[in-house]
Amino acid sequence: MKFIFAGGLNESDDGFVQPEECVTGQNFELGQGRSSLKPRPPTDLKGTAPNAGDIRGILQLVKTDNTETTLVVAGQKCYLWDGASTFTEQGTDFFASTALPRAVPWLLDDYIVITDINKVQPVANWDGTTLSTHTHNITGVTNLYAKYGIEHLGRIWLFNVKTDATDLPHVILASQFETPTNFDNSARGTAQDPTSTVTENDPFFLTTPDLRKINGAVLFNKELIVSTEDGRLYKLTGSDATTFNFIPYFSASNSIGDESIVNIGNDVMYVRKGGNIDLLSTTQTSGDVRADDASRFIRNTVKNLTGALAVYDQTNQKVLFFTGSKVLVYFKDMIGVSGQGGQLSPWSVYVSDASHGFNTNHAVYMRIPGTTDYSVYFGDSAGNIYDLNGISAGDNGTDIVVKRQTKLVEIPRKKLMVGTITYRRLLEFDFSITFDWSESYGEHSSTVRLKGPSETGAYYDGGSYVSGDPVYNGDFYYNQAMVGQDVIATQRFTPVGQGLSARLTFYASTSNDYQVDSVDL
Amino acid sequence: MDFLGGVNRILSAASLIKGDDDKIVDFNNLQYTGAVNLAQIAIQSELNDLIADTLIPYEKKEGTINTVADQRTYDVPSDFIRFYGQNPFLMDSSNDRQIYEVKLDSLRHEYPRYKKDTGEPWAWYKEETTTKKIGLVLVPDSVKTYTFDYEADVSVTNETDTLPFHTESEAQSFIDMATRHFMLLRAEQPLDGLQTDPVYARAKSKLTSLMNFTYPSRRYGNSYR
Repeated sequence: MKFIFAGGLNESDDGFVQPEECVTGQNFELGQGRSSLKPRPPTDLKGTAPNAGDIRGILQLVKTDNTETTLVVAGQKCYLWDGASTFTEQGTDFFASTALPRAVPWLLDDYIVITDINKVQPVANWDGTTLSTHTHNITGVTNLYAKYGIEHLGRIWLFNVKTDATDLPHVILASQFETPTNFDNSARGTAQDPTSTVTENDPFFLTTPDLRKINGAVLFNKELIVSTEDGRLYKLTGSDATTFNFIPYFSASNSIGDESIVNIGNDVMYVRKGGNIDLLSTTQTSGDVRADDASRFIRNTVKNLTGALAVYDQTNQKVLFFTGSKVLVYFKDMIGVSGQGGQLSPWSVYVSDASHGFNTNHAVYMRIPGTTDYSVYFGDSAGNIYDLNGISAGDNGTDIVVKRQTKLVEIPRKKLMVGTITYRRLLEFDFSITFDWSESYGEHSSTVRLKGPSETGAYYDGGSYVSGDPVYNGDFYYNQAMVGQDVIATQRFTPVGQGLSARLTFYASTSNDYQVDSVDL
Repeated sequence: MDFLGGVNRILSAASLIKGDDDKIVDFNNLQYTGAVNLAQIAIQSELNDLIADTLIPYEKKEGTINTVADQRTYDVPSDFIRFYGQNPFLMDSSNDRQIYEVKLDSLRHEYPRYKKDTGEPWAWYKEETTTKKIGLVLVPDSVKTYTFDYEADVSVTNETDTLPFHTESEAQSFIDMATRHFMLLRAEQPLDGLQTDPVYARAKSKLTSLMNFTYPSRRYGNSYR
């Protein structure tokens, strides 16, 4: 019996779980064409805000000239950050301490509009040098707050707004065409108010058709989609202030959470009431849409989920749901691949023993400061900013614990079971296989020290070959794999215990990178 | 070769240690837990079988008893199995005088004061108690040193216990036997298969030949020359 690791977490009953999947597990990586066991990337600490304040938002402006600036909001302070150790405060205690700022790019004038999920911070903007309160030009209103913002069709759209003390969670403000500093909360779009006098390019407002609180807005497939809490998904129709309107897109979305809806490139994912994570797969014809429960594989993990911070990592084709203590990871590139997507679970769960514990107020897919590459950055409550796709050893030095437990599998009746682990020599670590036998109350573990590249010169490394010693003295030629990264190697193990069936748990706790190709019994 | 080396040789001979595998360094190894347990049992069983009815040269040792005035019984060494040879005796090294065994039951009837009278011992007897002890009659009245030859326990328990063979060849042949034993344990086959196993028989033959101090017999049966 050969175990490979092509599938992810599948919490269905055993009859619906494939041997390549696991019934419990964490911190393993999946992907298109991947069948080996590899740990998730480590989280690298990239910088710490000088005030060690709670990271409330990471805001990035990439101008049309391809220059980039990154702001980090830590507590009330906002710093211009170079991606390493240089933090320069912008303004003085500019943000409200409970604000959760988010960036909306407005590239026509090369700045970002900053909204606030908690609507305690007036809408602001950052042009690369100055952080300031955003001009709105609404008569009789001093402070304009907005939960979400999007640039669409030459306007800035603000969703779930508040004007001074007046909370308007069902209202959408659209700026004047190509003038994002001019809003109007008294002129309604003609499609919702035929008596309105707005002209095509005027600023205007709309409300959600069900008048429910807006809990997300996303651009998908060139369309603007708005979600209402416990309500519906609506899409924007029309082309100007006289025709714009929202029509039902999916009438039973029941989306929950403040940042739980995300465009994943070819679809939209969102957390719905009850905790499911749904995948909106659409057919534009006749308004025929259907919701696909992408989280059907992980029904226990998502049960009663009240929301998540959803991020799409386009580079690595992952959709990440930060739930407070873990990250649910959907490997999108497995979908549609023969033998993987749809048949094998595309889910993994990231957890960490590092201080951040994946508990964050903001995670964002953004350009790595100072480079042109992209990654997912997130912050913790102590001012630390991490790269989710790190390359260092462990989570800032903390071991990453990988576990995968198989379903109950029948074990071929062998007298003394001999297992074989096939792996790549990357770095040395302890790999263990625990057998939970069906006819025994005890669990029995075999721990195998999987090796890194040979430390002593061996056959083909040049110098040692010529010197002859390692080759001809017998120590290495027949016994050890050759020097070199990624060399395929095998080791055997003989577990104790017997039974007709068992659950196998594959386990490693290390900060080293590794790859286990298969385990044979 | 020590016990650990013997186990490693079995694991290698059974193709469990090969390729990238390292030899085990102790019996707490969690990689080959199942096989290590069986290999230890195989070695211990074969060793017990070997020494149960046959003296192997490695077993003979010399023990010492130092008498104390008015103390009747004395412990033998902890690895004592039995006295070596026929009519075993204790040797008083101060005067090269031997004292021989008397049967305790006879002694009790013929010399009821055997526990009381003191003087220079003239015999020893086996003290039947929870541990292996001997008694002296007369009960010593002074300090003396007695030496004796005995068959020592050569069983192996710890990793560093040496297998009781003089040469590496003997130890290797013994492990050849133990390997066959291990293979039957591994396959959960009845151990009576050993008696008909030619590989096992050949290994045992090799071992006994190697342990002989003189050339072993090259022919069997009557010689008609």
